[in-house]
Amino acid sequence: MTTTNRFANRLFLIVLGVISLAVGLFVAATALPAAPLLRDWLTTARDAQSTALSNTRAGGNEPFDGSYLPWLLAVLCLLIVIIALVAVVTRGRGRTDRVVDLDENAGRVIVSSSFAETALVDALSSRRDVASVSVVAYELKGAPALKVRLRLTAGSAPTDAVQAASGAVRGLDRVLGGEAEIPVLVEVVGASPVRPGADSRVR
Amino acid sequence: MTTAPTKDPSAGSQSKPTSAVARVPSGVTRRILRRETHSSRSGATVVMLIVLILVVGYVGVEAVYAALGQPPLLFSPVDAVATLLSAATAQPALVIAAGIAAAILGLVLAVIGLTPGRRGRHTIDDDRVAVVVDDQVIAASLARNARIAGGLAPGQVTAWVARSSARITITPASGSTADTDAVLRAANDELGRIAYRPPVTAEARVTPNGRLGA
Repeated sequence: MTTTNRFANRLFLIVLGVISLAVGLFVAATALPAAPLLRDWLTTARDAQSTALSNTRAGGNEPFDGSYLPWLLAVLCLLIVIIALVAVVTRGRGRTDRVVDLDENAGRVIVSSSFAETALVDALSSRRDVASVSVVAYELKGAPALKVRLRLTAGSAPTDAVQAASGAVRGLDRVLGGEAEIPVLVEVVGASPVRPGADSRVR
Repeated sequence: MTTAPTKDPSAGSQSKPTSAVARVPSGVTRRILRRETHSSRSGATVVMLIVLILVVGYVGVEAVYAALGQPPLLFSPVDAVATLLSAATAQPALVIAAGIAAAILGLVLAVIGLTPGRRGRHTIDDDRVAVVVDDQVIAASLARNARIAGGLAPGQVTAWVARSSARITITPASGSTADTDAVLRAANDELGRIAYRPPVTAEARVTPNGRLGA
């Protein structure tokens, strides 16, 4: 439930993939013995490049007397690196620390998300079929949303725990009392291999 | 996938509790469920972004060296075309291999970007909350019910859940038979009652070889 732009993720992967595919096929094709055409084209490209480099002298003093094209390349690389760094850092954002934020005439009301977290964890963690509960608040389209992660003990059916979670969320709705209810995701996961939930040997 | 009932073992329990009072906007719920049952592809994106940063950063440094007329650290980007040209004639096999490797990497990335990337999760309808259940939980619950229905020991049943089917494998003790019908009935009863989406149909299988001491 993060705010990561998933379409951008996929677009980036597809664009990078297509570029890599095209470059790879081109490079492989140049070395094929039956394709002197591409090598002729490469020879032309190499000559054109050296002409361009010699025609674009910046005209400065030593060591700035060379072509400015490598400088352009360096600036382009710097731009790409900055954009990619920003993209890496902004993956997985979206946590929030409040579930209610009302600004009314009488004053501003903020309810911390840890209130909702404590309430739901308290309501659910004593159940026998629940090994552990964790609650996280996210921001979804500018409004808060909750994610309840229920780790069940091995072999428990998810329905009862889910109904209990739904009931606990309804109780939270009554306590918070806003008109718009908070979207809640209940994520039911199994006993972790590292810390297995006890198999309650009931038959 | 549409929710066409593929099999109807218990017609009464097929009527799913549709959210009659959709108090939470169902659009939000649908969005949450879609995001939780499909991969965001953030992992692959971050890995490729870091690779991109390293490669492009290096090319940028070499570009500055080339611009200042200094000898390159390893390889000057200005010589790229000339190097490719000489390598294509002198070492064609190497160049072809490198090109194919890059093409395969590109193909893999494009496939990662285009495939839906389902996460092995099912959803359950609820009036108030959006629910996703790991397939592991469904399998564990099925295996436990099968054990109870068939009167089997914990190690004798394994369950495996895919998008629209579940397979329960029973390993009976050597010389005894397993009550496959009871196991299958219990499994389909549970699947019908809980009404996962997309719907799951169970099949039970007995391994050809029993096991001593099981």
